[in-house]
Amino acid sequence: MSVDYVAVQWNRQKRWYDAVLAGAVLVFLALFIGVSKALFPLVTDEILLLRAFGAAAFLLLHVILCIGPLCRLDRRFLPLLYNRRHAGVACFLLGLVHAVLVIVTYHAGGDINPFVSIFTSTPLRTSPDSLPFQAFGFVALFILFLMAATSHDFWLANLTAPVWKALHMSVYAAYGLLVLHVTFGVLQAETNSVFAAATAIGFFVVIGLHLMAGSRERAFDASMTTPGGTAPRVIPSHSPRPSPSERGRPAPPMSDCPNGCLSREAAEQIPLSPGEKAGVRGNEASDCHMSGASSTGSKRFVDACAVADIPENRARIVCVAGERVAVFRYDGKVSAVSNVCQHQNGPLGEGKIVYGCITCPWHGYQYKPEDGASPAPFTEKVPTFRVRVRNGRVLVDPRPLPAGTHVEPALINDTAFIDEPLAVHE
Amino acid sequence: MNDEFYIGWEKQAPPTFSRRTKAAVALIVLLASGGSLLLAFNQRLIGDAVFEWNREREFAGVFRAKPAPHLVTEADDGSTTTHLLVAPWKFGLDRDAAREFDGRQVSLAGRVIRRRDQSMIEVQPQSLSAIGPNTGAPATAASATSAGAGRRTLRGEIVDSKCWLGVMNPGRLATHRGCAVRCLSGGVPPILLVQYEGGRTEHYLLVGSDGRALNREILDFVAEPVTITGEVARQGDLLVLRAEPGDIARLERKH
Repeated sequence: MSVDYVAVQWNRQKRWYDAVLAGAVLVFLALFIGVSKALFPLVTDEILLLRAFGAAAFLLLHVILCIGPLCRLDRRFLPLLYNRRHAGVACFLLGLVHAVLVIVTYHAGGDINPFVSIFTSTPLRTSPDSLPFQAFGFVALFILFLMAATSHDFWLANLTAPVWKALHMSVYAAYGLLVLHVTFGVLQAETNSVFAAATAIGFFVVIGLHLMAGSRERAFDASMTTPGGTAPRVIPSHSPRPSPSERGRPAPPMSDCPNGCLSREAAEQIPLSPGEKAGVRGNEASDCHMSGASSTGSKRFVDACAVADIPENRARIVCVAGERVAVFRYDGKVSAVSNVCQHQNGPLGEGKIVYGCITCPWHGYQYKPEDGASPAPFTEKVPTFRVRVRNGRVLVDPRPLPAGTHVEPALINDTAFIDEPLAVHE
Repeated sequence: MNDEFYIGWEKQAPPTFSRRTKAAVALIVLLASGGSLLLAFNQRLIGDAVFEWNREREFAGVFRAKPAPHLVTEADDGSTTTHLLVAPWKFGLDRDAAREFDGRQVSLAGRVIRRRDQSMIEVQPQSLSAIGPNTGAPATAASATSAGAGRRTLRGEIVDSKCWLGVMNPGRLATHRGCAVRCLSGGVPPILLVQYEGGRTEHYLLVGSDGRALNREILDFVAEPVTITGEVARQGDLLVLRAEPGDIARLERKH
């Protein structure tokens, strides 16, 4: 976190990160160049260098792309994520050296502008030998340039996190273009199957890890919906006591909520039994609920989870009205904030209360749990949610409050609502 | 897992994070080392070709403009060597300007490019000067009676002679296409490279059926497997293939 923009906020871990990064790159380059020169002393130096830098950039991009899903699968890989943008900038610089060498070696010194030559020297046909692989590489490098140029938090703050995030997701387009660049470039020349096998293995490792992480996320989302056909529960503020016989209603079809939650509209259409309206008991795993204001405008809370499900100083992520909410438990209190860190949209609910602040697991951005605001002098803020505790259950008002809005934390031993008492306790 | 929590701005990562990170770093270094060696050892296209870019030499011999500018030098033992001539960068020698030297004794300065018994000189254009009158000796007649001569269909790859003979090593196939197109477009003589089982290669200087330079007419066929049907003849040390663009057929690559 930073109040002023500085080029790099160096700390011990960043120094180690960059030292390891630089060391690994140098090892790759030195071994490739040294062994190639020893085996093939007549190789053209420029070609040797462009091969070395191009291969290093491509391999580093694989490592970069694997870090994200690895962290989703095992959070102990998070130190690799912490300074990943430096790896991204290094990848771009390696690719840039490769591109400069290619342009100078293959396209400069001729009868037309070398940049024009990149796009015109290959006739457009469907033959694998004649696809414009250098144009693929050029466009990929341009994407990597955009990412490297906007990697600083200055751009993150000014572009806003969603735009910045969308821009940086284009790394997958760059990777796809580079796979084409390699496939229709060097693999058409160096036909040794080792190169094709290495490219294929790299591709399938990247895709496989992403599928595994995606599958795990889907399973997580599914775990937040009602299992066993039990209907999600809506807990209006003013509800009669539940009727035990009316618990366990079959669930209605899931709505268009990307996380498998019910939408606000769907929630309005579900006939609620008194038991469901109370809903403070029953399915402990049911963390994902529809929400919304009733037609009368009365406030409605949703049953988020059991207090006992939340470890001390940790959160449970619940899905309400299509949005993930992080419900934190700390010091005998419960607070709820948006699960999305303002910095890089990291999952705050996977964070921890450290020094009294919610701390994002990705880059350590911090927010006070009661108002979602970073401690002074920092200025980041996230939306907060009203929260209640009843009979060991956490109830969340699904309507997000403006970022930074103070919400009185719910006391875990509290049994009465402050402003809107609910008849939900037995 | 215990309740350890990683924060990047703290001095130390928690022990389980630290151990996992060290293992990951070891794997990354192993990947960098192994990947580097794997790629280096499996390169196949680098051949026995040299460009003496840092050594300029003086040459003297008989200049010939056809089928492409070349210099015939004579050794002390009377044996002759044919050197194709090109200009610096991605250009051939200016054929119109060079025509005045056809058949004359000339001297020139340049850098040698060679692949096995094939030789080329990158000429410093201002250094080319006549040192004797036209000897009147006819150019070595193209011989259609030597072995392999006559009408033939050859399978190979069109490359630019300058890069293939040594300026780029490797200097062929898809990765080199852009360079080959620039060189041919700039007037460097094209060669049909024919490879036989066992690695033996032959180089055919490719010209039109009327002897004209084909360069820009064949750019679409560069760096791909092709067959060319034409008249093969030997002229001195040079194997010459006379054909038209319409005699070139593109092939699927055999891996």
